[in-house]
Amino acid sequence: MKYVKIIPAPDTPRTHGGRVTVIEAGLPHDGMPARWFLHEGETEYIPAWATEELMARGHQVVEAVEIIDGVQTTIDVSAVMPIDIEAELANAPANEADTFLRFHGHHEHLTAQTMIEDGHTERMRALALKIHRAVGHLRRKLPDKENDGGGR
Amino acid sequence: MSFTKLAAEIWRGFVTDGVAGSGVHKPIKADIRTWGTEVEAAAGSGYASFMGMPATGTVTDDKHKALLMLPADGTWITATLDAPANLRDNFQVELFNPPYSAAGVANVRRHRIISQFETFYLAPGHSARFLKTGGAVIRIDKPSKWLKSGIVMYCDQAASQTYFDGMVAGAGGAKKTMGACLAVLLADIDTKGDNPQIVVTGTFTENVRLNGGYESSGYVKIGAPAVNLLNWYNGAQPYCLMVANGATAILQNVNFNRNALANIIFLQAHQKAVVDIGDPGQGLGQSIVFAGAGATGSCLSTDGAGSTININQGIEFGAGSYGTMIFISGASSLNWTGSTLVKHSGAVTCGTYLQMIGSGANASLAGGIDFASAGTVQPGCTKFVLALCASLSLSGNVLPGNIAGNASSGAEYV
Repeated sequence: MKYVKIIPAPDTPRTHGGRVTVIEAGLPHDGMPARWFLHEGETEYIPAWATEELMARGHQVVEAVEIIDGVQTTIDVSAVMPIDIEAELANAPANEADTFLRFHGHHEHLTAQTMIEDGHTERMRALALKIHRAVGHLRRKLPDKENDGGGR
Repeated sequence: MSFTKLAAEIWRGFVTDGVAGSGVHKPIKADIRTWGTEVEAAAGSGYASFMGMPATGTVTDDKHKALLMLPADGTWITATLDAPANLRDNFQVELFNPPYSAAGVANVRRHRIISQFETFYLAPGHSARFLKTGGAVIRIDKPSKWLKSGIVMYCDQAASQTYFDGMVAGAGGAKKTMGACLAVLLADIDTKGDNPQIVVTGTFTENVRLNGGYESSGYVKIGAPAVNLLNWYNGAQPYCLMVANGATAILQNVNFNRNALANIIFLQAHQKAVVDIGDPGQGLGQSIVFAGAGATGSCLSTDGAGSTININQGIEFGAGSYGTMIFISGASSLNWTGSTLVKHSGAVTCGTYLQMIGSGANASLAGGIDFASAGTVQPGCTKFVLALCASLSLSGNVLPGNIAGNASSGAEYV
């Protein structure tokens, strides 16, 4: 999977202790935003499928990497703008595809099923491709009143 | 039966046996009276014959149709009952085997009874009554459970016999599988609310399902006496230990390994199960070692509502792939003791370190857990994934991984 590192926009909210930055990205569900948490002093990435939205929200994308089997390679940021989400999901580990699906309104208990059902990964990827066809290339607008129900 | 003096001594030829020069021996009437009394007592006791019992080994009695007397210390007994039709009405055999323990000696008494129809075993302390109640029926009263608190059972890969009762450590007395220990614990022993302990040594390939309902018992403690003495591989099923509904367990000094299957869950806790990783109060160092659950596998997982995992001692994640280190499902809890050591040895590849999905999934980490001093995970690990109103309290700890943790659908992060 491909990931990006960002410098958060100045007005990005932080947790009460101030050491964790809360980044919103992904489709809200039941009015609750999807969030990523960046720890101060840590080098943390966000999956590249959120890049467009992150930039639209004013965050500065400074680095893109591709991580395969624990090996991290720096790639050009332009390689994730736009990103081929279909190819990404096809190559993604099951749990990362699971994360993607949850952030797009499919709140099934996917990972738990992965643990106990053979062949689940394939079904999950097939589901991801259906989503992909439904939402195009994720060139979606920022969440708004017309787009608050997730992908169900 | 023993005699005060044997006939050969009483009626010997010479004063000093075999020495003619010592003079002719005259039998002493008192000795003869004693001997005769002892003979009369034995002959009048009603036994048709006596069955000798060697100090060790097996005695097979296939001659008596009516009565078996089976006392023994330090060995076990085989008895073959005659066909029930040949037995008198109201025939009875009673076996009673109280726990035997000399000073400094563990329980060593074992009985085995074989009827012509069935083989079964009595654990130490059990009694059983065999009754012939007319016709050709033998009824066997259900043995009562052995009331025993503070019980320690032993399981050893090197155990030489499968019928050992597990009351003695080592190759000469331990049981061969953990499942066999649990079967005895469930069927035969009432721990009176105490925590039974199964001390396991060796390498095992075994799927163990710890059922709830171990009568009157508390936590079942499973583990080796020291680190790295128990290597536990999953068998045909995708788990090593399944702590089933309502069961409670303490694991200490266990090395979990995977074989045969691509992805497994080393330890599953089902509904209302409680699992302690490491014994509380036994230090914060290494107790449990995991070795690669597979790319979509998991180390610790609650798979049912109301279950709890408590991490009380240090854990180690060995080289290999893991989908999720720890998974907490809805209405289940993870409690992690502060200052415990978490070690990552070798190349540890993990998808998500902590995953929590479901309303009421709750994880509370106490401060100062040492995730960083002994290795870390490879790039590509998401710190945590929370969904569906899960709640995570990290208390300032930063989970391993270089992908930001995320939360959705009302999940809370503190």
